[in-house]
Amino acid sequence: MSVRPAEAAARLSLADRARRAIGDTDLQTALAKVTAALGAEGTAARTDPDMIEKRRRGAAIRREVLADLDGWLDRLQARLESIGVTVHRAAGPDEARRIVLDIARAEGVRLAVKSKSMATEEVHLNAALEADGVEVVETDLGEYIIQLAREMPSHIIAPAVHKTVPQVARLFTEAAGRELPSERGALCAFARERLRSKFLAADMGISGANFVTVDTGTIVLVTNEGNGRMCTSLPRVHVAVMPVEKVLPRFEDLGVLLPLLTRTATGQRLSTYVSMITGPRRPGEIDGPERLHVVFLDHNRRSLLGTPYEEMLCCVRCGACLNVCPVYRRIGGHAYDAVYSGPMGAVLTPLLSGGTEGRDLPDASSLCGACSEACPVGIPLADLLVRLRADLRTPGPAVPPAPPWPGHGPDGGAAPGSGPAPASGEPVGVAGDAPGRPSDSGPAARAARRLGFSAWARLWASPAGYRLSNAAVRRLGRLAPPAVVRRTPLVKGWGEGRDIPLPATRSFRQRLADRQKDGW
Amino acid sequence: MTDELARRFAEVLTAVGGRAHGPLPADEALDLLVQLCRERSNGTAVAVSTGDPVVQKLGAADKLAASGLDVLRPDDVFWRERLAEAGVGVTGAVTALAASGSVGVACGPGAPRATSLVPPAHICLVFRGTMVADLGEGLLRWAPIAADDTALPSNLVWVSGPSRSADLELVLTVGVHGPGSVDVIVVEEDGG
Repeated sequence: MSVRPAEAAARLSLADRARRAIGDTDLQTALAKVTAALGAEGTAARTDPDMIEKRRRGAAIRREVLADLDGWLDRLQARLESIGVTVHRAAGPDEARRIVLDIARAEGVRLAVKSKSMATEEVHLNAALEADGVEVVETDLGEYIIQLAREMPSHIIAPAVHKTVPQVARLFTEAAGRELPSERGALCAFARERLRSKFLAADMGISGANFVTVDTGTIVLVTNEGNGRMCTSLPRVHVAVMPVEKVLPRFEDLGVLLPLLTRTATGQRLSTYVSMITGPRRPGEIDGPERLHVVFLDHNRRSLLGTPYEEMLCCVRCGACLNVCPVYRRIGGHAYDAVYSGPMGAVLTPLLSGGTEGRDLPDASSLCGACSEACPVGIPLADLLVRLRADLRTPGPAVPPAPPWPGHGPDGGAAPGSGPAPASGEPVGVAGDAPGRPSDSGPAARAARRLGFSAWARLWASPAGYRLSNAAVRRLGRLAPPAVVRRTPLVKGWGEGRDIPLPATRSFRQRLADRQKDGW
Repeated sequence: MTDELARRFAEVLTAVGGRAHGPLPADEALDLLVQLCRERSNGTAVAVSTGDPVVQKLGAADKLAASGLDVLRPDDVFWRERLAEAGVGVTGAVTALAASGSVGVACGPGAPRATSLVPPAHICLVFRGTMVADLGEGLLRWAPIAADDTALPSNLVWVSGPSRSADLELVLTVGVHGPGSVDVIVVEEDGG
């Protein structure tokens, strides 16, 4: 296979990234381990009768929210403001970054500690804060590791799973300025000590939100290490970035969604710490944030409402679809070159980015449907992938952008649905070309396809034509060796990854006729 | 007559790496508390959430002080600095969940968030009468939610055993940021 030369800043194609991942034996071992372990938990959770009931109720609750998302968001804002929380609305990443930067400036923040939050990675918050002179420290151990390594997460639940202990030892040794042994206990002790000093000195804690309940205005954070609690209890300011679909109507809905999330994600009945934060520090309390901000993040999520892609907003970020996906299990998260990977990432990335990123990701699927089965809230992921493949054939986003929030309007000039803006030129993916996607949508290719299919249809419209063409393929197919057949123009794309079988010497009808002659 | 709920709680908490004690009558529970604090603190201070209702009802802080332990109270001028050196944090819990081995630790005046978080060992007192089957039941304690209701504490954390991470090659390490040692003492009183 020819390998495309890597250009300076250009990204490799999905096919090349995948090939590289498959050749990386350390990664393959790590992927096998994490998907087997977590996948087994997810499967066990699926057959537990209690979980089956929760799945049904969980799916219903999520869809209840989507039926009136704007209404729920307005009610949530009112409730949060009534308990002393400042609410901001960010239509897209630009606004989200600006809002958090403004808060940091106003509060004189020099050091911020972060709890694991995919939403903040989605808007590239860390880089913006650092550019503004704020030191940002990731405190989830896996996120801390990839922050030091300057990499993207490779799995939604275990972001540093691709790193071996010796690799982490090297990273930590560099950070520590002294030699650290390649041993888990010592490495964790270093992380604990280094991050503790950051927790105690930080001016601001940044988190996401696993769920936020509308009736009580409670922000729910799920962690195992305790870093989430540290980030939201110790610094004087707490900023929670909340993707808009995280809202739940009622506090007691958490009794359904929380166990569903934790059981499906890691098999735990509950994760070690579930923090339920209702407002900032109250009079008489000596810790907790003095000021609590919640940023509602849209980033094209609301544009999915009323479209078939709306179902994707039910996602609770459990990672079950990653663990069962035959493609993810071989290529890992980095090959997707996006914040969200696996089947859910393949759907979300082109949708959230307004079609500017990840257009080739829906192709990274065998359409086996395991993801749809594994999803605890019943998202038909495989169907959405097929639909996206069709919708992404035309340039531009798969769905039109959402209108601004009712009564809020676009502020600061940021257009609704703004992702990494296409600026002046065309979005990546003009004429359907994503990096690595063959030019099969150009006018010549479309014309060739039209002609080819209509010729084929005419040939097979008659029994004689059908028999003749099959006989020709049988004769010719046996003349050329499979290696040559694999490279012929029309077959090449198909043949690259599949065996081309030899045609049989006699057709089925011929064999049937033979048998009937024998009185069979 | 076996106490199925308490038995289940103890089983699950042990499975996730914590230690369950009781149900014990109040005086025995306090004696055990003193003993555990002595063992876990190893000469350092014992931070106590004196404003916690369970801690208050049992008079735990005074009992610890009377036993000669160095008790750090939230109204201490150097609370934050001394907390970083404390070996044990003692709190109460609003309720316990049997299905997941969890305790619900609420914060409030005199019950800071950090008591159950910063010291390397956490000891939690909970009344048997407040124990329920699972999270769904536990959350009902605050239902129905009225529009102007602020009955929920500003921070309520469900703690299920010691802090853990499997981020390093998926092997479990205990005690990463939160406490690595968790003891829950179930007290026989109803507590309401």
